Order: sequence, then C-alpha cells, then structure tokens
Amino acid sequence: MGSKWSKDDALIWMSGGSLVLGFLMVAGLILVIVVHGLGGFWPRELTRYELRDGRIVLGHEMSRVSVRTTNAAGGRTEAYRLRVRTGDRARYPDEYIWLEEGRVAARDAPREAVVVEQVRGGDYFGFLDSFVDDGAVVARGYEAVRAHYLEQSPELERLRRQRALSIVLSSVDGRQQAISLANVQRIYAPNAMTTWTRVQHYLVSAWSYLWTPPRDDNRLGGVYPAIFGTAAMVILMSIVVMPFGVLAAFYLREYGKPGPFLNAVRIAVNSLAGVPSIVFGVFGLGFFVYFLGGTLDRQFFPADLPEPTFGRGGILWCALTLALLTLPVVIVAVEEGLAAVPSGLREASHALGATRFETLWRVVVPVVLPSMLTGLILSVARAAGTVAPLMITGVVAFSAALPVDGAWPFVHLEREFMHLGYHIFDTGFRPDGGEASLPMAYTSTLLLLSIVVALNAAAIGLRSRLRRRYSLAAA
Amino acid sequence: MTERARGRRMDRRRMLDLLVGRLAALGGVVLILTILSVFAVIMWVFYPLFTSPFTSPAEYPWGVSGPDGTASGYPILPLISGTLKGAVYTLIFAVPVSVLAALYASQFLPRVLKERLKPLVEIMAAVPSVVLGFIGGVWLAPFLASHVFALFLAPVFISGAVVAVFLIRHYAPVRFRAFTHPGREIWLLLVALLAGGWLALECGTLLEAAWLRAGYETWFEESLGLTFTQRNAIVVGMVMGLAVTPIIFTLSEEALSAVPRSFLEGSVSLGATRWQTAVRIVLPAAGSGILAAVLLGFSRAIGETMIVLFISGNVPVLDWSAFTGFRALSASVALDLPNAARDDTLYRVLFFAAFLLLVSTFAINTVAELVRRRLRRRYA
Repeated sequence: MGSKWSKDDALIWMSGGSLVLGFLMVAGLILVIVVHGLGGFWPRELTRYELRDGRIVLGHEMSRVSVRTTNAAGGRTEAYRLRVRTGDRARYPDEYIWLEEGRVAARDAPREAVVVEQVRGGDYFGFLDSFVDDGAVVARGYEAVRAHYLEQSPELERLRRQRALSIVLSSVDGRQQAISLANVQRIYAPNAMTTWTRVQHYLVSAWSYLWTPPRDDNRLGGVYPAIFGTAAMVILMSIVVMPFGVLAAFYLREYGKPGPFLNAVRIAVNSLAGVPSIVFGVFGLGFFVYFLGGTLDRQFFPADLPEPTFGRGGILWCALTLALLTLPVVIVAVEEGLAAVPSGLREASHALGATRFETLWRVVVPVVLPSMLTGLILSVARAAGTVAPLMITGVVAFSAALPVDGAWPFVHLEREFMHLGYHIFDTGFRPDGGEASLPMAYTSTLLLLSIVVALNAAAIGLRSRLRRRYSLAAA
Repeated sequence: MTERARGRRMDRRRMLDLLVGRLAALGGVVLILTILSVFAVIMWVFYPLFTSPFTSPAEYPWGVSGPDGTASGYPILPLISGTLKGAVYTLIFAVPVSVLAALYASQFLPRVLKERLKPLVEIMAAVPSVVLGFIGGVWLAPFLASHVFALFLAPVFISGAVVAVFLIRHYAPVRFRAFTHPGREIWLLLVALLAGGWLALECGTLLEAAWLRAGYETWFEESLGLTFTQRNAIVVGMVMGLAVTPIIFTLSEEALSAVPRSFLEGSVSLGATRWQTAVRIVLPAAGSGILAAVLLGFSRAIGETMIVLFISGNVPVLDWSAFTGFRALSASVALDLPNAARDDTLYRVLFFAAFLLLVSTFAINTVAELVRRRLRRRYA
C-alpha cells in the first residue's frame, strides 16, 4: 500500500489532464475529417426500400437518426429516420429524402442497380434497360447493356462524337429515362462489386478527384482548378513576399543601426503580424482592387471601361494581399536564421577586409539559405490555408478558366480563380440542401489539411536540423 | 594591378555595399508604409460616413430600430456585441485549458517530453481556421446539439475519471503500477479522459431517455425558458478555443519557464509541495506573461473569421446566451462585402467594421506587448 494520497498530486494530474484534453480534441476532430474524407470515394451500397404505402425508393443510406415523440397519453416512443440519397432528381428535386424506418416494409440490395455518373446533372441511380444506337435498340437487359457499354468504353470518347448513342435506364418504380452516352462519365453497379473492384473504383475516383474539374455545381467531380489556382496564387505570392521579407530581415539584423527608424520597422513588423486576416482583405479590396486596379484600367485598358479588367477581384490582388499577411512569417524565420549565425564568422570575414555586403553574400547568406526556405514553406502553408481575405479580393466558387493557360499572354493575372480553402467554404456552407456537397467538402478539407500539415512538418524538420547543426558548430 | 585600378575596384565594392544597405532600408520603409496605409486606406473609405448627412433613416448605418422593433440600415451594435460574445466564450474555454496545460508542461513534464510536445503544438497552431470552422459547423455542432446532457456531464465525469485513475494507481501495489516514470502519466490520463467522455455520453443518453420528451429545443424552451440553436456560442467557444489554445499555451509556457529556478528552490526548501510551489509561487510570478498570452488569444479570437462564419449561425442578436448564436463583425465583412457596391453606404460601413477590428486588435496587441516587455525586463 502506498502512503496516504495528497490532494496536491491529484491536482497535478488534473492539470496534466487539461494538456491531454487539448490534444485529444484536436486529434478527435482531425480523425473525423480523415474518416469522412477518405470514405468519400468508397462505393456505397444501393438499397431498395419497399414502403408500406407501396412506394419504392432506391438510394444510399447516408445516416440514421433517432427521433423521440410523445403521444397524447404521455407515452414516449423512439423511432428512427433514415436519410436517403435517391439519385433521382426528376422525382425528388433535393435528391435527399427522409424515410421513417417504421414504414419500411422490406429492403434489399439488388445486384443489378447501377450508379450513372453524368457529366451534367449529377448521379442517377436505376437499372439498365436498353442500349440505343441511332434510335435502334441494340441490346436489352442488364447483362447485354453492360456488355455493350463495356465493349464501347475504350473508344467511348470517339463514339460519343460520332453517333447518337444512349442508354435507357429504368428507375426503381418503373419510369424510363434515356441518358445520352455523351453525358455519361462512368457507370458502375456497387452491389455487384467485389472488394478488389471496390478498391480499384476507390483509386480511380481519388485520382480523378485530383485531376478533373468539378461537376454539378461543385457537388461532384474533382478539384483540379482549385488545386491549380491555389498553387498559382501561392507561387505569385512567394515571388512578391520573399524579396521584401528577406530584405527587411537583413535590415533588421544586419544593416539597421539602432535608433528610432529601426524601432519603427520592428513595431511595423509586430503590428502587421497582429492584423486580422479579414482586415487585410478589406485593405486589399480598397487599395489593390479599386485603387491600383482602377488606375491600371484607366491607364492601360481605357477601351474596355466601364467593364473593369484589373479593377475587380483577381489572382494578382489575392496574391498581393496574402503577401502582406505572410510578410511577418518570412521576416521572423529569416531573422531567426540570421541570429543563429555565429558572430565569429562575420567578424572573421570583416577582418579579412570584406565589406558588409560581401560578408552577407558570401558568408551569411549560404548559412541562412535553409532559414529562408523555412520561411518560404511556412508562408506558403499559411497562405494555402487562409481563406477570409480572398473571399473579398477575387476568389470564386467556380471558374472554368485557369489563371495560366495556352492563350496569350499565358498568365492571366486579372482572372478570378478557384481556391481549395474557398472550395471547402462553398461546399461546406450551403444554407439549404447543403448535404449533397458535404462529401466533397470533407475530401477537400482532408486534402487542404494534409498539405498544410505536411508543409509545416517539413519546416519544423528543417529548422530542427538547422538548430542541431548550429549547436554542434558552437560546441 | 595598379593603384588606380585597385582604388576603382574598392569604390565599386563600397558602392555595392551602400546600394544593398539602402535596398534593405527600403524593405524597412515598405513595411512601415504598409502598416500605415492599411490604417489610412480603411479610414479614407469610411470617413465620409461621418461627414455626409444621411438622406433617409434607411441609410443610417448603425441601424435604426423602428417602432415595431425591426431594424433598418446596417445594425453594427449587435455585430460588436457578437464579436465580443464569441471572443469571451472562446476565452472561457481556452484559458483554463491552456494555462493549466502550460503550468503542467513547464513544471511537471520532463524536458524530453516537453521538447517532443513543441512541434505538436506548432502543428496544432497551423491547422487552417477554415478546416476547424468546417468541422465545427458541420460535424461538432450537430453532434453536440444532440448530446447536450452529455456535454453538461462531461466536465464532471472527466475530472472524476482523472481522480479515479490517479487513486487506482496510487493504491495499486508498487509492482503493478504502470508508467512510473515522471511524465508517463500522460498515457493514463488519456485513458481517463476517454473513459470519462464515454461515460458522459452513456449517462447523457440515459438522461435523455428519462427527461426528454421531444428534441432539445423543446426541452430548453419548456424547462429553462431558453432558446436553443444548433450553432451556438458554446460550439464557437470550443472550436475557436482550440484555435487560440496553441497561442495562449506557448506564450504562457514561455512565461512560466522563465521564472528563475531560485524561486522554486526557495519555496520547496521551505517545505511547500510541488503543486503549492507551482500555483502560489510560479503562477503569480509569471502572471503578467500569462495575462499577455490571454490578451493575444483574445485579439486573435476577435479577428478570427472562418470559424465564426461557419459556426456562429450569423444571426445578429444582442443576447449573450450560451445556447444561441450571434453574428460577428469579421463574418459580416466576409459575407456582405462581396455584394457591396463600391462607395455605397454598405461598403463604407463594412470598412468601418474592419476598422473596428483593426483598432481593437492593434490596441490589445500593443498592451500585451508592453506587459510582456515589463516581464522580460524583470527577469532579465
């Protein structure tokens, strides 16, 4: 037996508990993101529900919630409701419906039920009826249509243009719908899939998520333009922020003489670091977009006025706004690197007759290059995750045109662009009927989170390696 | 090489040195100009609000409440109140957690573990607010809204579980004691927290079965006379609390670790326990540093946009209930500025809202910086 326990030791445990609590909550939220985000591509089972009133519904069961009701006598009953995605917008415009579980008479998973991913119009759930070639039915029934479709699919792209091919589908309650093959992205029968084909399906879906543009109002498809836009904006921002950040850090650590001006610069850096991101956005709108952009328009594009060219939100203004936001990040990182350079190195260089610039260029800069890289990585991570200021300086939910393409002048700085973070906002924050876009939002959240965490981990790793090196050099 | 040629080369070297020096100074000038122009541009835009006479009450930017209680114009007072409400609930959640955690990390955690903790905290701080906001609004808010009793029970049950695990370990025979190394109790704490949380969920479900006749909205209305919305200040406080916790934790931990060892040694040699030393000696000594940390967390919470945008519900109200949402200045700017025509009254009012955010965060940050400097001087 131990001695009598003391209250103080219990309190120490409580304080340790709050440390663990903070990590546990963040880990829990990240776990939710990972599970939902990774689960989005897995083919869900299609269930057929036969209701007591004779209706038949085919769909994915998305969730099951309990509902408590009190009857007139005061007795309580607990019932369950199912949230079902029907994939049938002709009948259910919202696509999602509630089913009372008590009213479901029977349910099964028909092997022949298929999901048709359409280029326009979302997913359709139903059964393959017939294959129509220029008005003539060439195949009928699940196996025949499937064989026909698979036979054509290698040269689908060519066939789509040449002939009026279409597939007739019948919905679960017998209505027929023809879908032109030109509008078919992919057909699969989730209930008939083996584990291996499911894995294949998963990988193909994940790949096309990364490399295709969004479909159906961002609810389906990929995020390629958002990834591209984020990358382009971040690169533009780095081009602006790195020279200024490095110069300012050089001034603060190497060139600046102690005095009121140096203090003012330091205060400016600290103040800039504390400005809320949304305020930078407001400044960007007032100064970059309307003032600078408006001036540019009057000087260089007067023919297009009053239609603005640069005088509205665009990728350049977003990049400049975020450059202001990340300037302190770069400065702090480079300053830390400069502070760690042993003063003996500088003194030795000066003693050999080198000027300050020569010392800086030949001795100091090679040593702080990794710190500059750290600053660059951290600022890129910060910029990739910042959304609020972009919302008012030129990000859009959907844009068909990329900021860089084959049309002269190749880089279109004035264009509005898609951004991964804003894509999360757009798909995750829809006031009505928003759940259709939620799987997409989870996946994009996971992608953004992975990018930002990976960048930060890289920066942290780089910095700790650097610190070890300096501590060895000092020893 | 002749003397002259060498002299010319020397000149060129000096010129280059001078040039780069000037260029670096230019970097400094750009920085100063940037922060000044942020203030200047925003003030320039909203200034006409204060000079032009308003043509009709509808254009009155602060919002006019009509005889029937409806507001016209763009009411800014509920937005200020909402911003403060969100920030205060954030601190209610974040301050106890992060200051206690910092106390533990600085006083009771072995150095090796503390060093391993730092990158984790840094990663935590780097999680984008749009990610936290999304998961808070879409997953956590509905989850908590259907487990309100469990939420109420959780603090009690989790503390209880921590004490229980502590006692079990204390009275267990020595050879059965797991994790006897100092700092390893973290794993036991993890178990305790998970167990406490799970127990709270189970008991919450039991209470629901006993008390709840319809949903929570009805229960709040009937039993407490309160309005309950899914997106409420508690969820904002928790999620935004997680966003500011790394800031408050890191700065508090720094301040607590900076307290000279002699303070600790003096206290312990006089017979104080480790906890007494931590709370009565170290905590007060680092008090101003912790205050600065809390202030910086507060200013971050005021300026935070994406989290309140997703979770607060964005309904302008003046009440401070924990179970209703609010609308914050930052979220209003993000939602309404894209639709405001240039130089419109709405446009100017939103610039004024941004100005309020800028000035308040600037003031708070400055105070925090002054407090920190005083602390640093004291122990330098």
